Amino acid sequence: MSCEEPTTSPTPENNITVVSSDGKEFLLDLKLTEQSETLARLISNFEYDRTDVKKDPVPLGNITSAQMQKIIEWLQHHRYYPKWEQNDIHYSTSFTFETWVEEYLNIPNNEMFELLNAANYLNIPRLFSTICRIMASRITGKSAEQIRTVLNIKTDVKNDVYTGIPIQEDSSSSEDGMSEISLSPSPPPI
Amino acid sequence: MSSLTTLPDIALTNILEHLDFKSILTLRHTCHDLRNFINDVKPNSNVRSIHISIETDSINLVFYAEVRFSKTYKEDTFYERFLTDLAIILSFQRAPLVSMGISYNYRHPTDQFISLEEISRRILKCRPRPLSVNHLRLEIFNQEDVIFVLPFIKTEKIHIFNPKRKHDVLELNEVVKLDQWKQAKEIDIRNFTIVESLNHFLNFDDIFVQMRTIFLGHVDMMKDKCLQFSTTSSIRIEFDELVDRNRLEEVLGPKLPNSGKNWFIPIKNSEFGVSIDLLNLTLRVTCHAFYDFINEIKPSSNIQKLEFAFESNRFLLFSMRRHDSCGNLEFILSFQRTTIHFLDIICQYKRRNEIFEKLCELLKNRPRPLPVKSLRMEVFDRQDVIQVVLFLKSGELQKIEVVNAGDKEYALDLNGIGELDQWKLAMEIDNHSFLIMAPEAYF
Repeated sequence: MSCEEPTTSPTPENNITVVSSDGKEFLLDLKLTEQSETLARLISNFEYDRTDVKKDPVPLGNITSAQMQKIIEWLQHHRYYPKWEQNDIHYSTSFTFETWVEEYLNIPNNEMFELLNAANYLNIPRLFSTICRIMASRITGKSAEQIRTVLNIKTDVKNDVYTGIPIQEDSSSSEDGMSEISLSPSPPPI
Repeated sequence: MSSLTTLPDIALTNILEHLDFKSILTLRHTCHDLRNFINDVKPNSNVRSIHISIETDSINLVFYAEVRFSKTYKEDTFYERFLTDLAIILSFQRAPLVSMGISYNYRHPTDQFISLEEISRRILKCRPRPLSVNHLRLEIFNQEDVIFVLPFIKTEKIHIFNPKRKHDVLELNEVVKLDQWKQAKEIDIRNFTIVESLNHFLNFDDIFVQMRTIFLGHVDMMKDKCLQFSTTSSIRIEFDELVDRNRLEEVLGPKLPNSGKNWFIPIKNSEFGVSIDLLNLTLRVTCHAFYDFINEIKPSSNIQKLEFAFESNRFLLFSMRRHDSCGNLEFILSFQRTTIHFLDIICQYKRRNEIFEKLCELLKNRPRPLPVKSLRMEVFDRQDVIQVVLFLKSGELQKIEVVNAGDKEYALDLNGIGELDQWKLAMEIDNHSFLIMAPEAYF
């Protein structure tokens, strides 16, 4: 159940080749591709799971070799995990993750966003949902300013508040007071 | 370079689904793209209840989503800012609210009177579908206030209170024409005397109203309502005068032997019947099994709902009633073995301490603590809460509702109460017009 377990060495029968945007080739075990709905569908469409079918390399124009490396690491780790099932999405007060996942996703925001894009493109639901949850955990409980810093968001709202230029549509500058809404009751009058 | 705003919609939506409402509101303030995206997607806010208290020069907005939010708006353009925020909060609301309360927190309208007209015109009216609220609670001065709100809300339970804490006439001639009125199932109007015909109340399963005069016809009508509609659960009409009271037997038929002031009218081919209770100045009509009726008149007792009220403006007139009630209560409580589903303590009487002491004594002297499922009490301070809660059976108590019996905003200090087992094991706490002072851990 862990990534340390030696993987069966790929043979032409049980693997396909994918090509990253920078032209690097990766040999992928068919067992691993089951986690990616995009690849799984492609393999079943072209019948690449049959030994008598000639397999062409699959170009993945949106994914760099670094990202592909990272994704393969994920697929290897979750190789023997049961098929992902979407849990009921609802708010939970604590975001808890496996230690392995925390280390795996301990990467700069920039890479995280790209990995999320890649997970979306390859349709790897477990990875996609995990990154979304990690992102949510980094937003929860922070002020607007902290969120901007953590997620490198360039603000345009703040300027409007400071220059006093009213923003178009419903967003009057006064609305920004909402972020001051407090979690605890205001002090009672004495 | 990738950033949060360049993510595909599906990813952003997924992230929003994992966020609590406060974080979503905060995220909305980080940049325009996110604001527009959130306004577009309208993630569900999970807001369960909203309480708006209007003071003379400020507005307090409290709402419960995953956690409690509170904000007081005052000075400058406070009404404007309040409206903007409320509009945002409600724009994300898709599921019905469990409760919504709008209350004036002072006794007399002043020059700076804040009308509900703007809330109505700019927020409630603009919604594509009416706001769905399970329990609407209005603490308002007159019919006009009701008309600003009720037509735009789909609700089952309407509770109307008088912020002046005394009996005024509340006209309802326009309100009773509304579909929203006709579709609601529960009406509870307190500290107002109603003058509308009881015919307009026949759609409700649960009624609590106060009237000046009722006639034998009314008693008969309520009896018929109970007989005809099995969904009717409880009717309670308080009155000052019942005309031709001595001719009740002509309308209701002879009483069963030993049934005190109660009538029991059996429903054909059923063990159930309508119980009519004319104790004091309250008409109570309920429908239950004959067995329970017998239990109730010989209070050995399976009481499920217990209400007792002491009201200041009635004290002088009906002082006997107070003693009566306490006497009865003592008797009833001494026989109560099963769980009381709902204990309602209404106490707007000036010498409340005396009453609470009496009540406390009664509860204390029971060999075993009184099992109560849901407690609602009008209180002045922490002592009142302790005196009652301490002597109720812990584990049984699921819901505690505290209502400010005073006319001003008070802070309710819950220090010590949170340590009680009764409090810890209760599931739900609801508080009206109090500022709660207690460690977060208490909730």
